[in-house]
Amino acid sequence: MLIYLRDKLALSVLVLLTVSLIGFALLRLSGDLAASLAGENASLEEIAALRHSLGLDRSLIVQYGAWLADALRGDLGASFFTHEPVSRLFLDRIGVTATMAGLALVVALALSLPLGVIAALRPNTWIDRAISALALSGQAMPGFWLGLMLISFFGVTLRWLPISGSSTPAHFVLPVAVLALGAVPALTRLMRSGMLDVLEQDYIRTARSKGLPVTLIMLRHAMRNALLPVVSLSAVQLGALLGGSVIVETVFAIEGIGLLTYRSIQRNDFPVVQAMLVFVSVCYVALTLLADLLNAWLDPRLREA
Amino acid sequence: MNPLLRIEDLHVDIPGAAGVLRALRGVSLTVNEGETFALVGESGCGKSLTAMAALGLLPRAARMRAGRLALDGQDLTRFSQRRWNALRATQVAAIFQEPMTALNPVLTIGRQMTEAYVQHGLGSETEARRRASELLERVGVLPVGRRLAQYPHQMSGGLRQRVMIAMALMCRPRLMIADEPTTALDVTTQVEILRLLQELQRDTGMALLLITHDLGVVAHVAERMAVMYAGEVVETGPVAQVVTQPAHPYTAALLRCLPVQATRDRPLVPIPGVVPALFGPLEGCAFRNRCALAGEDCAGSIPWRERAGQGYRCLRDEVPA
Amino acid sequence: MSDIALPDPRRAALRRALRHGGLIAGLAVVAAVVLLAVFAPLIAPHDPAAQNLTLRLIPPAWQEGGNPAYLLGTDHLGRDYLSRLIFGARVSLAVGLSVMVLSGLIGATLGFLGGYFGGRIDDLVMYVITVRLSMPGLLVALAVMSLLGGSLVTMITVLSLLFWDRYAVVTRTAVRQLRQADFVTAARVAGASHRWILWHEVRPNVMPQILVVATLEMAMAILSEASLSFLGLGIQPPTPSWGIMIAEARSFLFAKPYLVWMPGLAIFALVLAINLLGDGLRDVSQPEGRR
Repeated sequence: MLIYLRDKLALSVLVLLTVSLIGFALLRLSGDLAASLAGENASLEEIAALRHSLGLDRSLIVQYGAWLADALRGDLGASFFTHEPVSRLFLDRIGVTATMAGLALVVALALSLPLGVIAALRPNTWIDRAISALALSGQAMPGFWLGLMLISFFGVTLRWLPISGSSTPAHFVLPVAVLALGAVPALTRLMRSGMLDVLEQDYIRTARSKGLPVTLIMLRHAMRNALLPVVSLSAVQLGALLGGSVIVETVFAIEGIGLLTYRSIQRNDFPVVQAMLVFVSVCYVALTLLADLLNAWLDPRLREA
Repeated sequence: MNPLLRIEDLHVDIPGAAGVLRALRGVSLTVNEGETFALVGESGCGKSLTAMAALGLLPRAARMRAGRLALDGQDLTRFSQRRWNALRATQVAAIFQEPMTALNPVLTIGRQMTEAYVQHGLGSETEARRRASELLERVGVLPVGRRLAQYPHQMSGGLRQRVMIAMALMCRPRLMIADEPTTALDVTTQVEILRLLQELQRDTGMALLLITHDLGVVAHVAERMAVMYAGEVVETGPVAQVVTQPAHPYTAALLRCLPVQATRDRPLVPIPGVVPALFGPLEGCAFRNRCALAGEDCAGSIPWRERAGQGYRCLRDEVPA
Repeated sequence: MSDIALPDPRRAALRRALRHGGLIAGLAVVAAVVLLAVFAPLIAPHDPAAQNLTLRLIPPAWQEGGNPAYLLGTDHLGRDYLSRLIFGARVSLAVGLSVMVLSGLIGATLGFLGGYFGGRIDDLVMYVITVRLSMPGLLVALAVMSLLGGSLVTMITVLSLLFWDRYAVVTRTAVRQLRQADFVTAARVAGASHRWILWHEVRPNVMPQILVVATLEMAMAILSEASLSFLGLGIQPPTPSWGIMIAEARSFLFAKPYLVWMPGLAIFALVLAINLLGDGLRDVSQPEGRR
């Protein structure tokens, strides 16, 4: 396990460096930033001065090195647009986004685990088919469209829920629903197939031969084994929820890091975009590591690998 | 001797994509209290399925009907799920072929051994632990304290099968079903496990239903036996008698396949042909397409015959050994 | 008694396919959308770009104030909604199919290399896959589209370069298992080259799984295109794309909700049909059980 963790950590660092480099290259190589920032009426001298003050006239490797050194100290640079530190912009908004993503994952798991188990217990019956159909439909639903439909129904027709902003808990209901429904299909299917696999295992027959009640067999003997892949997917999904926050935050006008990134993309505010890119990657890497640890806790065999 | 497990005219059908599989076609056998009874046959002949029926653990799709399926006078065919659960482990316990996969990989040995004891209300967690320790000591899984905290993957196959045996003994069953308990183990371990099972059976007075394809195992351990072929019992009787004077050509053929029986004069003889497909009704003797003694008459119905304590389903009176 | 006639596996698969309701339904819808897209100029009742400000926001024909000439009504610029929906299918299918093929080439190649050769090459492939997985796909696509400007070609290129990961993972796993298969070893012993083995022994056995992933990726690409276009950084107006139509109708969400739900329903139906097709293909190619 320790050797595995060490290798995994090494890979993670390498991956993060690569992602930051890609983000850096993508945005620096895309055109003359100083020119676009200075505006159309700026003189060549003004552009050159701006370029120098932003450090854009240095070689790309030096620029990347400088950025990386700053980033490791927690300094992600300043927004070209508002001139606030990127870290401050992030910290102000991360709470809302993280709350939404976290809640969405909890809701998604609360729905998909029971659904997957029920489907696996009654394979190829009407209830299994109904759950599969729900999962398929959920997968085919564009998140932004679902959001708009929910706004139109719950917010406008029924007037039950607020439709934009994030000031009260009620504001979170619809966006969390959209995010959660996006994650439910894959989790449900994985739980179903995992349970089907586990229920065929010899140790389930052993448990049954001991006269244990079905609920105990499910909870103690089956669930734990079937959860292993679900834990891994949950980590990936949480990362995807952070990335997917762009759409939900745009639709529901929520001031989170998703909306911030969207705006920054639109106005070429690349320190913010680059920071977001690296931030999501860090989250992904951290979450998959967490999932590995969680799985090692669930399955003793993994502790020794 | 009192009959403990009585199975009469047991039929099991398993519907599948290729049609309805008639997996068991009128199986009858009786296991007496305190005896070791061996159920022998090739893989696919239905011997494991017969045992699973006695545990109420047939596959979900299987349909069962039986003239009688009784344990100690209780009619199992009418059992509810709740009553089956109460019966399992306390009256009938089982160990299986693959000790590698029969134990749950994510639970400790201690947890897996004690859970049924506590669940069946036989005692507290502490009492269960004490009994588990005693049994592990008895079956030779040492040191007990450390083993209880271990996970299955930390043990060898032989040790795991010992754990399975100890676990099956936890609730003092009257019948232990051992489904190919030594097949997955290496030869020296096989002998140890068989010896252990024999000792435990003698010490506890429980009955042992030993399912195996290995006639060599049977000859050493069991008192009575039944031979199954294509979902039917073709011969049954005391082991000493059946092994020396087989009354059914299939039993005789099985004996000729045993390497220990082969000598320069009596070479190892494989059985020609294949087992018939068990879809749809099967008329006459199922073994006739592989039998040297088969004639036209074997396609008709074959009565169950008895001779000096041996029962068999064959028209021929003389079967060359 | 012992010799059962074994059915030809291809015939058996075809028979299973014909009896698979979901697969047939999915195939029918996809085929219908393809026909609509290909023959859009012939089928669409109006020019999808023709604006007529005197005919703005006509409701669908069955609602009060509807006009039978504009079956599904018109949008805020007086363009025929049905015609725009029909032409919108072209964008979705073009993106879906192109990305499916291109990302498949990238992903499957990586998966084959990593899975077949193992060792250092596999380490490298795993590293590339991990880098890709750790990047938020939609965000990167948004950023790049905003830099390069939205067009069909950039859209296809960007999505293809981003969404190959599932192909790579699935192919790699499948090929790894096959590498140890006896028939591959036999081919190696017989002196076959790696290239020959990959093409003649491994590829046919991995194809069914790749095909299933392909449907998933096509669905994914269509949804991504719609999202990017909805956010204004994808296909640019006036090209009719379902995502753009929803974005444009958004300001009329309260007054004219059907302008939002109709294109959304089109996306939903097409993606659902593709997913049904994929599920069906999986069931048919793996008869042992639905997983």
